[in-house]
Amino acid sequence: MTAYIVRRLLWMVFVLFGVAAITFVVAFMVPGDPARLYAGTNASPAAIRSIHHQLGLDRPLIVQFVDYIWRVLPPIPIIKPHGLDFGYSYRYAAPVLPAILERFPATAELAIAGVFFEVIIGMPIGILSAIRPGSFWDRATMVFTFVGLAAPPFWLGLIFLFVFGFLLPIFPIGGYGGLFAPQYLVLPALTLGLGGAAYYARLLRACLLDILETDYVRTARAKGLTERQVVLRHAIPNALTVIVTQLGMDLGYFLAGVVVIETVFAWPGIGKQAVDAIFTLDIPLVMGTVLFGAILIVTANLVVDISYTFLDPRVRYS
Amino acid sequence: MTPDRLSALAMFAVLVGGLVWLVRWVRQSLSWRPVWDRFRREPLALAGLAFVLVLVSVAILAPVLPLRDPNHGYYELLPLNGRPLAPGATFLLGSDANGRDLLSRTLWGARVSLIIGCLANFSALALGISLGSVAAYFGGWMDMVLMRFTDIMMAFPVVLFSIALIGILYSSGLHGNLLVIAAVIALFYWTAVARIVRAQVLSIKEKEFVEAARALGTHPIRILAKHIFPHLMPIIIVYGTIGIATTITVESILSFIGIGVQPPTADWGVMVNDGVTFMQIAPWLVIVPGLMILLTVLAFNLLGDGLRDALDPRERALFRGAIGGVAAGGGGLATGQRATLEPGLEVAAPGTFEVEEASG
Amino acid sequence: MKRRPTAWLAVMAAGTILLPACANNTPTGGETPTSGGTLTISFKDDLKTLDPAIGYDTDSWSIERQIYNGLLDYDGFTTNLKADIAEKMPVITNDGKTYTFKIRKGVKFSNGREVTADDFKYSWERMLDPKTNGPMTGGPFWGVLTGSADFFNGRATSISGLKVLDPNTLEVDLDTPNQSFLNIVAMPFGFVVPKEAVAAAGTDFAHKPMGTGPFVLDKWTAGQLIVLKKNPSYFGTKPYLNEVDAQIGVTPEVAILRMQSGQMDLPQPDINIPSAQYVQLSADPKWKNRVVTTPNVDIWYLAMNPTMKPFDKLEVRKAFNYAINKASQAKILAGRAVINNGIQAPPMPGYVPNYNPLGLDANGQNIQKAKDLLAQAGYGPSKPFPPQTLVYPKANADSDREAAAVQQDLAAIGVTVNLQGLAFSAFLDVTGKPNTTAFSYNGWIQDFPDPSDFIDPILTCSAANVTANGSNVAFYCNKSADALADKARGDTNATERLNLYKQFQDVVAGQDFPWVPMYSTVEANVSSTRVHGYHLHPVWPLVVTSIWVTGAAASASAS
Repeated sequence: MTAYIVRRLLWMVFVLFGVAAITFVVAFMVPGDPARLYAGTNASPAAIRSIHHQLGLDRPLIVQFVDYIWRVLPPIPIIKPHGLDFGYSYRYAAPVLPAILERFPATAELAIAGVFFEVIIGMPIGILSAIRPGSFWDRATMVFTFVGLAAPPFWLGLIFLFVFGFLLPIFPIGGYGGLFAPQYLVLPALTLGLGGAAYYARLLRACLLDILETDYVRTARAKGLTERQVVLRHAIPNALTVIVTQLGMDLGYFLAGVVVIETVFAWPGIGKQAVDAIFTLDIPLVMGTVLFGAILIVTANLVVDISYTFLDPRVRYS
Repeated sequence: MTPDRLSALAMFAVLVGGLVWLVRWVRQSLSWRPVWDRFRREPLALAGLAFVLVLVSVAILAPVLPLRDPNHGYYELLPLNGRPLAPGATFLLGSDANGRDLLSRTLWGARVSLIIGCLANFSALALGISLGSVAAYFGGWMDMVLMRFTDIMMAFPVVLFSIALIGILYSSGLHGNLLVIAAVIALFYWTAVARIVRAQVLSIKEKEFVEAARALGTHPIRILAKHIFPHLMPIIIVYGTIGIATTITVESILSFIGIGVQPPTADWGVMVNDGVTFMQIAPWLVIVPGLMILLTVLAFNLLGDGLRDALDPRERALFRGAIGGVAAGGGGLATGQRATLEPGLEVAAPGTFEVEEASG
Repeated sequence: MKRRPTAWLAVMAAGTILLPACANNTPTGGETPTSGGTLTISFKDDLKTLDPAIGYDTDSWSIERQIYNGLLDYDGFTTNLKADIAEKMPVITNDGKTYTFKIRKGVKFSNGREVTADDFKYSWERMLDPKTNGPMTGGPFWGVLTGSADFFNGRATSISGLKVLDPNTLEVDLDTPNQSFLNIVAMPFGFVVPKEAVAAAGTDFAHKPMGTGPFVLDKWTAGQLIVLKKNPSYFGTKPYLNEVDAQIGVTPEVAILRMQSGQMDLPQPDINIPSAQYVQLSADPKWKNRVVTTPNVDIWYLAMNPTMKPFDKLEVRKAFNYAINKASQAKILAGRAVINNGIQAPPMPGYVPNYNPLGLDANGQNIQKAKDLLAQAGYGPSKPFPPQTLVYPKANADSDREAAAVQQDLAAIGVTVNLQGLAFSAFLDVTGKPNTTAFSYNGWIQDFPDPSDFIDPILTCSAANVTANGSNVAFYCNKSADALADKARGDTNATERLNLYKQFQDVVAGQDFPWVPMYSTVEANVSSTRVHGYHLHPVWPLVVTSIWVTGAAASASAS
């Protein structure tokens, strides 16, 4: 098992390196001279040349790339006192990573709440329709899942905002009340979770239906276990591995910043920050957010993989 | 008869003719007839098909239909306070705040969404299938490179990176270009397709008929084309439909944010964005285009779902793995990629447990 | 100033008199003001800066006005100037070329130090220093100071015309008399800043401001929230409010929705509420009395840069002038605009009513002439007009629609226009640089109530001669027109002065056409029922000192 984990860790390093490389390439594709933006609009040509040199933009591309990777890596005692330099935001006149980290808690809160809603809504629905396939309940959930998957998230969010924020003033109309103000969290997390809930309902339903047809479940039933025991003790645990995998990845993607939801609800997370940065032509901030998000996604995948070794013994011995 | 209208009618004729030919061919084909029969018995799938056909027809025939210019604002018909006109006699679905005919814009918007959706989907398929099957068949370092590269691409937050890419082009005047938008969307989806195809090819290439062909000395490309590719058809068909649902959703998201299709081109995502400010006095401006996106995505999903069920009910497990993989590997789940309906057991996600991974 | 308006006024050159400032907004009923409370306002985009040397838009000025003071201010809600940090109005000698200001004793910065004349010399020199990169460098307004030219060129390290006679006396020498100099002094660029705070903040004074004002900046969470708290040692009339919270990143629609739900007091106080909300609120019996309107002193126009192709051709610029449907623009603003073919706004003296040198129709168009002129310029089927990009600020939902209407109008004469909407700060950057933007959608709101404000900073050669942050976005320079403006600047004869400005307008809008002037707007703002004492000021985008609040606080304050 340790071999597996070590392999996965190496994989993570490799993937992150690739991500950084692509991020670097894209960030340098920017039309316009980064030095000029950095130096400020009134700078003389001499000042710009000096900034060019300071930023190291006159060195060969490969040297700049290596330097970029070196700057991005976290600080190492003695060898490397500074690190985690994701770039410098022209608009905020501040380094990128601190700006992202400042907005990250809001995104994290939304991500966790979103996953929570996905599970809370999706799983019971999925389980119940698997138990009673073909019933009215099953058909009703099918309709729900169809619509939930097909509705564009920004539209759903707007409808929710309008109906539950304005027509029936239950919730605030977008915005953020700090980490511990749940009333602001409900509508965006619900919108985020609804699409996922539909997916999980179907996922669970499909898995359970399959499992409930297998031999060992038939054996369990033959042994005299009640249907409820069969479902709870045999069917669901087996389906859990799939669910957990999916959840882990969902969390990763959500943490990378759910741009659409944040925009509709004016939720001050890293996604909205990146979109605002596009319209102010602040490329370093955008690419820094992309890199940050990729790191989160890869980490989430790694965690899911490693947890898999505990959840599914088959993996350990392969 | 303007050239626009002529080509529209011609395309429509081709579409109808092609469909008729297809149905007739399928009905007398030994392997495909049973699929068709199964498909016909699913009312939801048929409903999806009907909607898709109607939508595509309307999109193609838009220049011919008696619709107003979707981009022209009839400011002179607006009241002095600029209030959008409610649905009524002059404008069937009302007007937007620039005096443009909403019905016309909605129907023309279908064109844009379908064009970008199809373009993106088919390029992703083409690229994914070719690279995935070649890598799987030849194995070795080619396979490893593909797997590593798709791992990297799948690590990116899709919507954010698309926004970044298009945003970078924003100031260079390329923004709003439909091809660019389609290319950016395809850039992320081809990786998911490649992985699924790869899994499928890996399992097929061990089969006896392939070994036999190899023993006979058949050229690898010929093997791929003649023996392996036909077995990929089910995946292609199902992905071809469900993928469009996904790409249309992503495109509408990009346009809603403001870096996809640019005004004044009519596009559902743009229309929702434009309508937000008028939600209280003219809610139809938001409801109609959003509803269209919903129905379109739904229809393609139902169609794909039905096709998948019809293609081979016994091999549902295989498909589940396939389709789940697209949804999962496509990235950014809640932001639009979850347009597939029947997720899989063996979820082919980046780096997660996969039979091939563990053994290779 | 770009964007943002306020109230009414009329002006004469030498000495200013006004019209009732609160034309449409009578103070809400005679209640006694209560102290305390928090006012919640909103801005759509993050503020560019709170450094008074740099800020030149209504967002920045709204907040700067609460944090800083200058020598002079406007009296109440009139356009009369009164002394603020100065003890009294300055003594003017030497044929209007020397102004002597006496500075009040006991005015303190919020760090406790007392303000001296040195501080003003320091602040003004800093503001004009090329190294500060502010928009006033190079002199649209302050170039009249003696010694400023050398200072701008780096040949001198200080401005000889600013003399500190003693710690409380500042003498200002001008090269030529300027009738609007006192108005210039009252602009936020004249606010005083403490040099030690600037030094301590390094390059970040924009985010760490310190002044003498009724409020201090308590917190600025970038992109989210700005909190101002009452300054207990303020030398002037203390405000009623304890705190002002500015929520950032809130779209106007959401801000107004929040106001209707009791979570916001003044949505976007410095700009017009979007048309959709205006229509809706005006029809709502509960809110229609909370909407205040007043004509703005502004002009909205398309700028065409004659130094960039294809706008170097006069026929092209003239053609565009015939092509734009200005009535549509007014409809997009829910009728809150008046068609304007000149460069001065209706409330400004010197405004020529029904000014229509090109003989445009009721919509402001003559499409046939536009097409003819393009043909004359050599464009046609064999040589199609090159596609242009219209750069516009995404200020609110109306901006996109206004730009789309322009796009449609030009398409009708065969010109393809691509739209590029930018956030306001980015828009200011790209339009303020020479050789960058050929075609843009702009608005200019008065900085102070004098016609020179609509000419000197935006249509003169010195205003075109900048490398960045310029306001003459068309980069228009006509030496003979400049001569008219120069002559008018110091002219003490009011009638003659206005005449010269009218002639200037004729050159710009009747001969050279660097602009397509479109309309002047009517401002509409709305406040929640908690708010009392809210008036629109003729010059300042937001005045908070007269406001008091009642009832439960607006609850949506971010952490």
